Amino acid sequence: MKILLVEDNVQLAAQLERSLKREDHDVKLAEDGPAAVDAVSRHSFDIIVLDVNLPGFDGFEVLRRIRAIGLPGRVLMLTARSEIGDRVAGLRAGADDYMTKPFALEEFLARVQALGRRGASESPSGTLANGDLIIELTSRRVTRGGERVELSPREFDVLRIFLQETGRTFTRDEICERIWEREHEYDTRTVEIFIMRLRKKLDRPNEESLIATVRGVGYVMRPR
Amino acid sequence: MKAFSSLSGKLGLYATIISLLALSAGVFSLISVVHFNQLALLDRDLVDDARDLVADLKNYRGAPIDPRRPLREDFIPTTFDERYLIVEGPEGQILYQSPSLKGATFGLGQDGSATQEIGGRKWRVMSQQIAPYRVHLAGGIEFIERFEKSIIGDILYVTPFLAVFVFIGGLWLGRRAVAPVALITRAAEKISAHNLNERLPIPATQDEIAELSAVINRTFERLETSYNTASRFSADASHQLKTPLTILRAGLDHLATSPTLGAEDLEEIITLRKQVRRLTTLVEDLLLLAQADAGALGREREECNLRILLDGLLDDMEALVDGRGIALKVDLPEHLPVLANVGQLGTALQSLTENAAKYTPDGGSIRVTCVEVKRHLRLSITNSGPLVSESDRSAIFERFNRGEQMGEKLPGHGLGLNIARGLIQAHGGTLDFQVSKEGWNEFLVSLPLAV
Repeated sequence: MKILLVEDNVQLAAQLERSLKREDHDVKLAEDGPAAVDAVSRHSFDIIVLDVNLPGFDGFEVLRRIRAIGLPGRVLMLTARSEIGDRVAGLRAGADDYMTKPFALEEFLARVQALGRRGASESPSGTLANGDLIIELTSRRVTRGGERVELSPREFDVLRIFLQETGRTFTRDEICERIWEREHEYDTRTVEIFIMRLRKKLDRPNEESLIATVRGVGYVMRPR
Repeated sequence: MKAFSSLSGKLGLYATIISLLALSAGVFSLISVVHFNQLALLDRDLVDDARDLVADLKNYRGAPIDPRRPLREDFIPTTFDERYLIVEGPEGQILYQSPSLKGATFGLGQDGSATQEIGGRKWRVMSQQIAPYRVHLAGGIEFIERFEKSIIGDILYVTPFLAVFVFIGGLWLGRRAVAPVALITRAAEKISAHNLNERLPIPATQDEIAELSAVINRTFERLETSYNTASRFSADASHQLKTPLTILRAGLDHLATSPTLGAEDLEEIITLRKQVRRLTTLVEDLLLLAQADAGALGREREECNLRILLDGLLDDMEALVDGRGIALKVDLPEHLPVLANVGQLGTALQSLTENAAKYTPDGGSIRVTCVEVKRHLRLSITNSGPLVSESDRSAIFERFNRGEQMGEKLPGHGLGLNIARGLIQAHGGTLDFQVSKEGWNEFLVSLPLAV
């Protein structure tokens, strides 16, 4: 995918560029607001990764300008502030996704990937599926083989992480981080408990578990 | 008594007291004047009566009476029956003495009037030389005292009505006088963190109220400046602190994927990554504290159902205490609509649920209940276990305080409850500690419900 990375910190820009390139993305860099608008108007990008805090004018202004001239491209905003204000402002200004610094590189790449997929073919009405397991994201309804499964809030959150990237192995730490943004009393044991409960609710007897353990690494949900 | 604590109530009360004092002074001087005046009138009557008597005596049925002989009863007009009369002749011999005197005498050495006691009662006495007689005449003054008493009685009778009237008048006057203040109060109340740039209207009059409004506006000015500075600091600090953290994190993530990495090195990278996360949370908390100090918390609120937030936190709590034999009792209403910054309120409540999980001993109990009281929700998070010691109770909400008995073994950096209280207060609520009925530790959250 063609990606424009707008980030004024050279070090961070280099790190993100390197990681994106390793995933075979075509990456261009812009260091400030005006350069970003300039780049977007001259090239076409699938995804724009946009830092909020920029010299020249900030990320919101960049977003407003490129949306005003009706340029394509999905926007992933990066902000240092975890307050809801930036998110609301960002989404209102037309961002497609939003990440708070600092973030896990894996999650960043996954979000970029997801935005690219969304650009290609909009997923139907916010559902995720793997085989006969279907979850509806807004109503938080989960069914397996047409049968309703009642999940607790966190069980749902854990399941969603696996369904968003079937086939990828998640470490316990990673799952922990994705569910609880703040570092807290949750340890990886808590994640194990939620996975155990999910298995109890979703798995069928005499069948391989939906969420498999990868010894010494973490868990994976294989595509069916 | 709210009526008497308000400014207008006080004004009414003071007006009443002052007018009652003024009334007393007025009555006192009025009575003195009346007394003096009535006596003067009586004195004049006595003199006139005496003159008429002498004139009559001198011209009794066309022939004068010998002024040396005692006067017969029928010489004296009946009008003198209610008075005491003594008539002396030219040589000082007593020519007539009212029979009701029963031999008692009165009179003054020279011409004039005075008050004297005769037969145990007070009389106004007048003596006058009216040739050829000397007349002593006394008139009762009880009627003057009766008159004065009736005046005082009348005034006392209307005093309560007057007091009520003056109080209501004072109240009304007070209301009118403080009405601009009430206006300022309402206008000032509307100014919050969301519209700090707004100012109070300054009345055109050049009075004290206009001055007060101007002073309050200047205060708002300073508040806005410091608020903006603090907000900017918070935004700048976020950026300045989190950018290096992001670089650290991305670098560690990148290193972790290196194919040549040994197991030991990977272990270390994972540890470093956890530390970055801890540091991030600490930075986050310090920024929250900076905002709390600037009064900038609780912005960007939206209506949400607190139940959903609590369900997630209780789910976590259940997992946290899993396998420790802790009895968890939850009783929450389905809908708990509040106006909240979900992230901030979540942080606050998370501290409470985590604390409960952390400090409950194995085999203990945790109870989470919520009731609605007067448009507020009262959320109680109660856990069994050693009570927070009395000396620690006032300190648990202080910064970097973890309680002496709680020990250093337990995780956390001691900001949780302080931040939680700040965040809940920023949402118009309260967070308190108390000992529950069972003698357990109870944290009580009160938050206004969204209408």
